[in-house]
Amino acid sequence: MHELITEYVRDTAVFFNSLILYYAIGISSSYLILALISALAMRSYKKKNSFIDYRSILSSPLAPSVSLIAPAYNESLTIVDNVRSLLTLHYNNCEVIIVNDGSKDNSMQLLIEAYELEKIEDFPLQSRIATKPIRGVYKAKNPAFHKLVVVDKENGGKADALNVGINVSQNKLIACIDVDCVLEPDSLLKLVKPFMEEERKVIATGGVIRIANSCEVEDGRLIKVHVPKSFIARVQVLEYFRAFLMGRMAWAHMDGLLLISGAFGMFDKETVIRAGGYNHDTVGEDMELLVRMRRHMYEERIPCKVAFIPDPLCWTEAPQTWKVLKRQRNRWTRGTAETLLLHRKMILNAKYGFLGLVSLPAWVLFEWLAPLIEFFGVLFFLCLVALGYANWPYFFSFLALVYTFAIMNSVFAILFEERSYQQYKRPRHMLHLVVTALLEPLLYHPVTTWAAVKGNYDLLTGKKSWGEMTRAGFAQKKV
Amino acid sequence: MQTLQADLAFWVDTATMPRLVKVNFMIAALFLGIALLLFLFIVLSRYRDGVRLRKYKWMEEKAQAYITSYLFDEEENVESPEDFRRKYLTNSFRRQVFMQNLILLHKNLLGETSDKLSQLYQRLGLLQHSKQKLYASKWNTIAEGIGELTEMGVQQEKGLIRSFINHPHPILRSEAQAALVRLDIDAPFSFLNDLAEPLTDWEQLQLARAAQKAHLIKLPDFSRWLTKQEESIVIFSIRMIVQYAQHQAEPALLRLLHHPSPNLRKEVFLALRQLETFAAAEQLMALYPNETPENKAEILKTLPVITFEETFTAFQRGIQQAENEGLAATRVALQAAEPA
Repeated sequence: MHELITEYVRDTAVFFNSLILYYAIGISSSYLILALISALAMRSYKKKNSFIDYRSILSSPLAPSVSLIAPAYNESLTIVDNVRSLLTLHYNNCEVIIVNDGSKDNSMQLLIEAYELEKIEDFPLQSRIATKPIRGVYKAKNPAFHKLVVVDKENGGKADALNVGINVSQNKLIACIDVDCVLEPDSLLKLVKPFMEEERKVIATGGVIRIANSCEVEDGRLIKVHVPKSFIARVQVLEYFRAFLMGRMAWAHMDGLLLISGAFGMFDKETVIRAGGYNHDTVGEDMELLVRMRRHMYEERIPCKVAFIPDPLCWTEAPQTWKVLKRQRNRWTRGTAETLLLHRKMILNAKYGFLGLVSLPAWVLFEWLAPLIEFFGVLFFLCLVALGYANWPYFFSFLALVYTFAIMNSVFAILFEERSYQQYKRPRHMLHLVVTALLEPLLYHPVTTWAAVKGNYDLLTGKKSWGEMTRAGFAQKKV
Repeated sequence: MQTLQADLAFWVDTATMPRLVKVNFMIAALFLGIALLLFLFIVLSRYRDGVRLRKYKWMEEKAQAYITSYLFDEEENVESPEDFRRKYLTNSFRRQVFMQNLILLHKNLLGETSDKLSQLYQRLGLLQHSKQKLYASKWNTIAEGIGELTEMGVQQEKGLIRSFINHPHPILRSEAQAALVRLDIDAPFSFLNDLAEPLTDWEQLQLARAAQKAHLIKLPDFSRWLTKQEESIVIFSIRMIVQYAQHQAEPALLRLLHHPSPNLRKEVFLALRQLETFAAAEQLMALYPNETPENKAEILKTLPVITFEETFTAFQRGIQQAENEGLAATRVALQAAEPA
């Protein structure tokens, strides 16, 4: 009997080990392939970009009109400065729509006073997407702020606020941003360009989001870039390098991009409306919208493209405490899973081309399931240890393999940053990042994996909340 | 104690180590090695960039000093361009730095000073350097050459530049088209007749900008391209008609109101609005019922600009009435279709 059990455990262990091994080989190879594709795409982009003068868009009457939509909820500490910063972005043909999502603080009053707003009774509002009621639309009396439109509405969440912004928008393109992000002055010019240069219809464009922690910010403008002092934020710098410079660049090049960050992205308004606008019932509304837009275009048989540009366009504050980080990752996991489940029909469906056959399955396997597989792998190993079946030499050899791969991948990401936009100019910045890469797999990765597992558990139990994102804010010069 | 010794022996003695474990450690060592190499590469590339930047600055200083002296000092006190070329412009990096500075200055100057810079460009052999680029195999080198020749106003190579207007690479294509607008003074947009590729919005914007920069004396009548098959060329011509307020093109624009493409018709509505073409009002009102929703909206934006207020109000009332009747008819039809 004992022998039978031993044999059974051994067989299971061998099966599980092989599964994990093949999975690890798969995920590592996918990272390497993406990195190589991204390197080629980046090289081509930089070569092309050396001929581009973005000022030509700025002064041209042929430039498309853009509505910048920024939802705001209880942002009274920074809203006046943030709006001022948005109004100074370099783009002539644009309007800035601030949607006050039923803030409980005095955000609305501050805006009215700072920008001399007055209520417009006969604003030409098109209610093409259903939303919570609007209390009023305001415009500035002062012609200096003629680009500004402020909408006051009942609270309905970020997705609802963005949908209101879309209804209010008078322009062809919409750029959705988080009001507390710091945008580069040329960011709109750069995001608009793909919409103009492609023969195929471009439905969305995204750019690189950077971490603003410890950077110097003045009047809503980024003055000086520093590597974050906090270890947690520093690791996220590496994560963002990997995700944006090595991942999304490659996916966009293969026309398989599924996510444009909610922090800053530009969309073709008509396609957004036809797809139904932002979904209120998910915490991952940014990913869900893009997947739905692409699905809509496939189903309508309209060839389209989602573009991605590697320029650093938007700086955001990353979580600096474990608690907030875990909350954020929990939400990201739920958002990803919800989107994938909502659009499960597309997965492995040839009707949706590369998206259905490659992008979505890759997201399921390597984004959604990765932390779960890792977690169950650890649990299984602990069981083997408890039963006395652990094979330590194998364990340490695989640990070494995974650890060194993670370091290599991160150093590769730093190289990408160095050869592309080199925002961290001082040598010690680079050294800090390399040291962080050595510590990340040991200290940071287990926490985010656990948060993702918890996110899946919360999804099963039906948790829908966003979880509060506490931010230090950009009010002082140094964040 | 014996077990511990056995364990230690396992880690030290590679002969007894299982094959997979050995392979794993070897691959891990490889990953670590690659990571170290990448790190070394980063350090070296930073050093190389630093050296390159210093060289660039050195040459930039030399270039600026020489150009200033060439422009403003007495001729006998200035080193001859031939001597300067022999001494300093010894490799393509230095030539390129000099060229960039020269072009930057040329962009911002007019008249005699600008002509003097063009002379300097020729005497330093930089013209030849730019021309050679047109024969390169890489698209970006050719585009660079076109850009330099255009900025320096060199017209001799127009023919060769024209051969790139249908090049498969969009940037090169765009550079060549914009160059012709600036260099082909007598017929700046004649290349539109030979275009085989559609004009993207980006290319159109570049052409419009090139036309602005060129301060064209002989503007073509853009209505001549309104009958082209390629829709993007027609759209571009409509936009140019608006930009240069070519009111003589209005009859040709009115003929386009019946074009099969809704996108193109939308562009015509916009043009009629911007040109304030009163003659179009009747036709727009007649077209309204059969237009796409997007174009209907465009007509409703255009009519108040090109017709009298009372005419527009009556037209709006008519639309409202027709829509109400349509809704009522639909309701009746639905009720009739319902099973009893």
